[in-house]
Amino acid sequence: MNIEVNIDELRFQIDRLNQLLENYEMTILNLYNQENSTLTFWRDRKSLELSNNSTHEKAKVKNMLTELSSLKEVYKYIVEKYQQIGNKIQFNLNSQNQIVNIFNRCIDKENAIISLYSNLNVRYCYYELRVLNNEKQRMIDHRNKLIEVKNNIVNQMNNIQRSEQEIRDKISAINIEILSDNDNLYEEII
Amino acid sequence: MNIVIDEEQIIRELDKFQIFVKEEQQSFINLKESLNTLNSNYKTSNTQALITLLNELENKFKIIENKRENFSNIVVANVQKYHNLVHKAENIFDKIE
Repeated sequence: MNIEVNIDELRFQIDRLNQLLENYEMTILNLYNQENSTLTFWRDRKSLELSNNSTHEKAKVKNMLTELSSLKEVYKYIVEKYQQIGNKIQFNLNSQNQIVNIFNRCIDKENAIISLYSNLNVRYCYYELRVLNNEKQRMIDHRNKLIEVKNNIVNQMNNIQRSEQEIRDKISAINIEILSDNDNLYEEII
Repeated sequence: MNIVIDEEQIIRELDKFQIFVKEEQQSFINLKESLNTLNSNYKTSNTQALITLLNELENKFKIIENKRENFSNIVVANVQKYHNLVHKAENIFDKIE
């Protein structure tokens, strides 16, 4: 599974989306106000029926607006979750095991070399002993660093997978109400 | 119940209504574009689920849009009906006279 997240661009687009949602809400308001003005010049039983249906439709559109806002909230959540990891994240989560195995192989090799240092018999070579001990210590430091880097990478991967799971849960919680073509909006008035 | 029909005014108001309908369409297109751009910057296993939600919203919008188109047709047809009724009544009154 490939993952590509551009946080900077998402942040910019969320601001734009916010503005567009506000505009949309305003347009909807204008639209229904205008519809009501039409009804002041046409008043009979049918226009009342139309007005009732229009209120019903307005509620549906308002609901759609809420659904759109929920989607915006998901994107906002994505930014919050990923911005700690980086501004642009590109990763193939399938290669997680492969990468961890490469680290493990390197760590194993370094452990084997460290054991070799310990097994050398240099009791009577003081100078060489000092040099070898220094080298052994450098190797141990390097191995520890490698373990630290491996753990950081594993933590980040787990972090990404956890975030993805949480985002998946958030998306599943959004339920878009399905409208049918046969919904009674305006249709039985004529 | 009082019946109020002002043909000319209704047609004028309907023209304004159509302008707002167009604005709403454009507004929704902008929203969808923006959501698509957001999606293009977030590609993971969850992206497909987000696209599905977007498509469901778009279908819903199309249904509402179609029904709204019927609105102006209905108003115009009703106005026409009243116009014909008034015309018929005038004819009857003429005959009675």
